[in-house]
Amino acid sequence: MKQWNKLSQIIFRIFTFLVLLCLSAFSCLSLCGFTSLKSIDQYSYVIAVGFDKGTSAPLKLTFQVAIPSPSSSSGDSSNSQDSTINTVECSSIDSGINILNDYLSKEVSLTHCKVLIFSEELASEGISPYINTLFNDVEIRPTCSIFISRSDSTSFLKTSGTHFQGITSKSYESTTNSIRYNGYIGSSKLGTFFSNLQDTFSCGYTTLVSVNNQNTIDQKSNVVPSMNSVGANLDSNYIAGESPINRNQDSAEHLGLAVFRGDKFVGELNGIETFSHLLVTNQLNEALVTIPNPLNETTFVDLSVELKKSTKTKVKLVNGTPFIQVTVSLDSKLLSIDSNTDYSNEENIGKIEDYASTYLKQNILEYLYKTSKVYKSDIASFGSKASAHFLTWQDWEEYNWLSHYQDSFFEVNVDMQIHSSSFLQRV
Amino acid sequence: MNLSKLRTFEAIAVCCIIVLNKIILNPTKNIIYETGSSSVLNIIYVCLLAILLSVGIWKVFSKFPNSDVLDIAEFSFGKTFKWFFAVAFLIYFLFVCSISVRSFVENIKIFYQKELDLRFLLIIFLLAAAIANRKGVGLVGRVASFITPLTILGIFLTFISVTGLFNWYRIFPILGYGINETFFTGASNLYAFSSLSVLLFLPPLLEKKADLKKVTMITTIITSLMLIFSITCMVLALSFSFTSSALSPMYLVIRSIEWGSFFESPEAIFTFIFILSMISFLSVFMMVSLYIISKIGKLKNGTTLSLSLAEIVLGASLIAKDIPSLNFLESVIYKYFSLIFVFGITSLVLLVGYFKKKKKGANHPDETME
Repeated sequence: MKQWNKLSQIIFRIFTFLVLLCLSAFSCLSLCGFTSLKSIDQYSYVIAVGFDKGTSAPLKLTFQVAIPSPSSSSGDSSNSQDSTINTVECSSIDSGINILNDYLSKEVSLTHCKVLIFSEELASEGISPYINTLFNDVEIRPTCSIFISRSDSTSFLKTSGTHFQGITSKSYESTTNSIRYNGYIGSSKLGTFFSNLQDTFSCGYTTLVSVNNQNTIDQKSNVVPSMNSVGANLDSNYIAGESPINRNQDSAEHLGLAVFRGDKFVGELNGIETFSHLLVTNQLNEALVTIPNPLNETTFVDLSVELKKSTKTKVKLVNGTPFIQVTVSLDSKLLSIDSNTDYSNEENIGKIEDYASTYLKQNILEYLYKTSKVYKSDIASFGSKASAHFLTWQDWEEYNWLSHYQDSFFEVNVDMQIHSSSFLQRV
Repeated sequence: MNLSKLRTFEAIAVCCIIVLNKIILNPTKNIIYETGSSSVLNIIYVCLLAILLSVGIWKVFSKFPNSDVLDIAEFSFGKTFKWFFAVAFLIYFLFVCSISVRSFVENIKIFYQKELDLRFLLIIFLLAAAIANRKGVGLVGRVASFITPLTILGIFLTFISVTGLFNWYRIFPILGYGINETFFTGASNLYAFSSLSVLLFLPPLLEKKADLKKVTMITTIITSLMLIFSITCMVLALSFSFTSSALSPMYLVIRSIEWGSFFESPEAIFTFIFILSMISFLSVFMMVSLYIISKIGKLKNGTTLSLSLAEIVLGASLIAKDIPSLNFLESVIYKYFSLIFVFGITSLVLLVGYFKKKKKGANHPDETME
């Protein structure tokens, strides 16, 4: 009897062990996707989505879908196509995706979506319904970039990637990363843009893009009001689509910022204003600035500029009106050299420093007054600093920062130091 | 290898893992929702209260060496009360277990496993916890001592990784929705620490009884720091107006992390860590529940009931119809259950026990607790 008990105990233990083993194996297999069994071929991976106003439906969606073929990965030909463009008119984002699912006979996946592009026309009517839906989509990452296109987004998507050996997704990545050395675009991610739309102390902004060709170069923007900027004919005064580059072909250009009030697009900022925005918001890493040469009026001086210290901003409320002080400290390198000027001379360097400081101060002031008086939009988030003057949320909401921002007045101080030039100091 | 006792480090890990899991789930969302921009101030205040409370707990337990809260309840109000008190604790732990695992699985389902059946995912988590408990308290402690540092590292890395998104001025207006919401009604956010009630059952399970003070204090300090880190991340990185409405605000913040173009989805690493920590969390709660069952049922080895307990939790976790009902259970029922039972009734039991013991000790200095 004892032996029988022992034997049954061993059998029971073996049985329990086997059951647990089977359950564990089944669990592991199911967690690694065994149950869904979907291969890469069953998905259409979208690289970018364009949003325009539709003609027969409220929304026109353009999907740039990756073509997963071995030939596209080699990248040896500039004409190699790594994506296709599909356009669908629909009533909502999800219904558009559904139509595309049906058309492609594959499940559309937005997990690799790099860019969302809205046309100015659609953005000026308000984009919060689309942004809310996109942010709520678990497939789209908050780090996905948002652009506002001056041309329709379909044309922009068709031209993007052309100057990057046809590798479109790489082109979007490099555009986003170019903020590190280029002061003419801003960082515009879905997460931060959505956060700015929700905040009571700031407004949203995105990078401005456009198709660039002979027509867009000739057709100057009438949206940006003229504010008599210093050096109005400089290269930094262009916005996307206007810079005279590759006149004979369509190319995708990213330059400037699109400014939002609430969820509506209200205006554009050009290159130098974008540079000023990066300075004020501490986002500038390194950038090139061209200024008229104070020592020789017919020439220009190029400076490589970076922030020496973080930009300090103070917001005071004077009789309820915001008074904003901005102090910018910059380090710069003189890149220009000409035979008529001695750049090793301290007096000459001092003159350039003074001129550059005044030039940047005026441009920053122009940027600040344009955003406050013309666009009535606090894209630099000064409101977050103003909120420190209030004790409770009720007081802050009653004050209504965004309605007071347009009455703001500014004081800007720029301290620029030219530290060194390159190999040669004079020729 | 002694699998019936917990070493000091294991005990700290066991206590930490339960609060860390609550950070990942609902309480942080409710704290932000109720206090707004003053969430950071509120949580610092709440953490100070929690430290004071843990000092109080240690003071009471120093009078009752090698006893748990059930022994103190018996000492304070008698055997019948102890029985009801134990059942209430059992219900509380099973309730916390079930809503936590359900909430976590609902998150996983939304982000990763859309096609998988909810019950299947729940079974995987509960089975793992039940198996850990079959081997005894020591194994649960050992699992926790491996997973807790990982979870702490995960939260700390999240904090470091999202500092680029921080706008420090989001803590203003400093008093948020008002002084009352921050300090008076805001004190109710102490419920974020309610899972630390597990501490009340640890003394008999400790290998070194004298280390209870160390365990209590270190646990409260670590969990306080982690709670401050995570609330700070959520408030400073993104607008709290939508953070407070997210299913899992911690996950929302983690999704915003950028580690270059090579690591495109760092949240997958965190999700893996949090899955492990949920398993450890469940095993700790099951461990304490089994301890209570063994104590009131006078069982020699309660671990054999671990699978049955897992079944009960599975059933309870399926009670909530959908995510809104689950949110109601987490933000209302769990909160008030914790405040009334853990911070109200249990504190009263401990206080009565403390003063009764003091009085008795003064009258009969030689008498000791059996």
